[in-house]
Amino acid sequence: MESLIAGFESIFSIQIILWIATGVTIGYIVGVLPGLGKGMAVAVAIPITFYITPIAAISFLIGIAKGSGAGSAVSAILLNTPGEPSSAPTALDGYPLARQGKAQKALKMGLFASVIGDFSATLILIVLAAPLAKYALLIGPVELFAILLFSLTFIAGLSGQSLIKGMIAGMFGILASCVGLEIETAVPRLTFDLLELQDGLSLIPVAIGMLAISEVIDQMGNRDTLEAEKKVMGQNSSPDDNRITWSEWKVCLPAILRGTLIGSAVGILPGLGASVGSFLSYGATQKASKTPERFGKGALEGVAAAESADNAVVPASLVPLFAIGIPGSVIAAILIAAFMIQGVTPGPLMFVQQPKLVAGIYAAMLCASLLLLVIGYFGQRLFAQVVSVPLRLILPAVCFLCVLGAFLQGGGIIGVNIMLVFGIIGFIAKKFDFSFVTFLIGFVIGPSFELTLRQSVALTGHSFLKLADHPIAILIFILTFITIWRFAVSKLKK
Amino acid sequence: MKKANVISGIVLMIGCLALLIFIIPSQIEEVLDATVSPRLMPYVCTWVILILAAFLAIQNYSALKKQSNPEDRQSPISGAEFRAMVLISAVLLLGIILFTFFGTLISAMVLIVSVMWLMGERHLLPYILLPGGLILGTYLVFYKILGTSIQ
Repeated sequence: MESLIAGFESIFSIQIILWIATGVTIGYIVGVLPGLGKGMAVAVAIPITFYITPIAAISFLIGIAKGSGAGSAVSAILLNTPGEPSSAPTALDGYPLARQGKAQKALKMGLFASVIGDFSATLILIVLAAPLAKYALLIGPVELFAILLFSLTFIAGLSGQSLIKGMIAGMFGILASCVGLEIETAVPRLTFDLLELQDGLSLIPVAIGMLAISEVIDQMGNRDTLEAEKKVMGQNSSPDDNRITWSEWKVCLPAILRGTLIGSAVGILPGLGASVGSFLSYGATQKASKTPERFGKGALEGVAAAESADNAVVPASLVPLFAIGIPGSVIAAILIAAFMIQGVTPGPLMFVQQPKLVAGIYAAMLCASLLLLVIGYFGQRLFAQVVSVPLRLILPAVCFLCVLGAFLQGGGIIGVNIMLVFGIIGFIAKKFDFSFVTFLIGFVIGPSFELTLRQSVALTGHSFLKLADHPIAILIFILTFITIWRFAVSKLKK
Repeated sequence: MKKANVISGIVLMIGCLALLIFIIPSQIEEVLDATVSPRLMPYVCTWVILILAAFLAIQNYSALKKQSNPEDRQSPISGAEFRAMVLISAVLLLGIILFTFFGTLISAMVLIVSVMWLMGERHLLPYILLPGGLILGTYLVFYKILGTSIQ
């Protein structure tokens, strides 16, 4: 507690607060723009941090990550185009709410849930980072492989109408992640002799293509219907459509708390990421609801569940980074670069060698959560003006920003080509109800999935009997089979 | 959707067979002394997709034979959506080609203006303000503030 107070003392200067506020604002605006996610925003902003102090630099970058996480809900709700894959479940209920003329209500709930999830997960980070280091080391490759398999199966079952299609999408995602040099032998895989593909398919162009370009195609194909719907979105029938009532808070609070816990747990486990967290939280809230049939048609607690988990993942993913020096997410991985630039090595020694800096980062993170609430609340009306802009002006701008994002983060023009290919695949997948979110999760966890499989094979010496040495992994495998069976039975009954 | 499922199942099966027979053997070298073959994960994924696709096609074909509604036979992609897919792909391809030969400015202008035209914008002023604003904004943020080249 004393060190946290010292941390607050170290960040209470106009300069640092301004850097955090700038980071949150930039992040929020970038998050609002479809296809431009926190990974890109933080990566692009790193050069700016060369010229500022370590605490200001790291606070600025964390501010961008937090702002972007919350801002991505705006485009998900207003345009049905998630700013990031992790906001996809927000769009499932947020967009129907906006079409019912309740965009402001959905945006406010998205913001409040984001801030509560983010603030609580930061507190969890502060409390758990050091003690958890001991337990995190116990998760070996076999257990992690089991967890990844379970997560993929669970998400495949939750998204879309068909478990089979969900599993096909997930496996296709893992297959796409195999492109590039193989990790052990450095043999090129599925590169078709293109040097640009040897590093593999970059996540950003793939995600922009699957999510944003497929949405641009869809919206262009249905522009007359959508323009008519947009007129309805602007017409609010009653003041209750713009604010959150007490009865809605009572329904949404358990979803927010559940989302925060799920997001924090998912964030702490390396490799799972915000998409897994937001989908698990959305699914769990739908399952816990007395009226699950409302989900996907404008259930406010769906927005609350997805956003709280999505934003809880970012601070929680810093737990393995701070505790054992392993990044738990893309953001954590990018932050390692920022830490190294500032002469700080993330890991357990950081607590011993630079306790003041760690306390300062914790204080800056809490401060960023509060600034996110203020900036989001007062800026939301301004950001939400995107609704009144006609689609014929929004879509060209979105298209341009998508190309820009794919170009910058995808290694040049090859990134734009990848984005185009995955845009078409994403559009067809969407129309044929193959969950593109499961595909993306498969794609993201693919490298960890393969690596842990390899390590597991090496550890068990190609013998299934050796699995007996890993009871936790066996338990998770059994849970996976039960999940498949239960999903299959429930889908067959439908 | 049932007919679409049968078609997508068959297309996926053909794709998987092509991967198993031609693409994986020709595109991934076999390494005999590796702990795990580099072909293992692609083979596992492809086999799983093949089996699931076969199951999807058979399940929906038998359901279609038992009972069939008109919407079960409808295409999930409408004519307007298909046109949009072809047009957006063509515009992006044009942007890529123009970028290769003429650089960022021309390709960005053509990309934005083409999508505006396809979306039905017919007023002159937006054609000046939107591309101008976006390109100027990008120039200021990336070239001037961040010092990043887009070439």
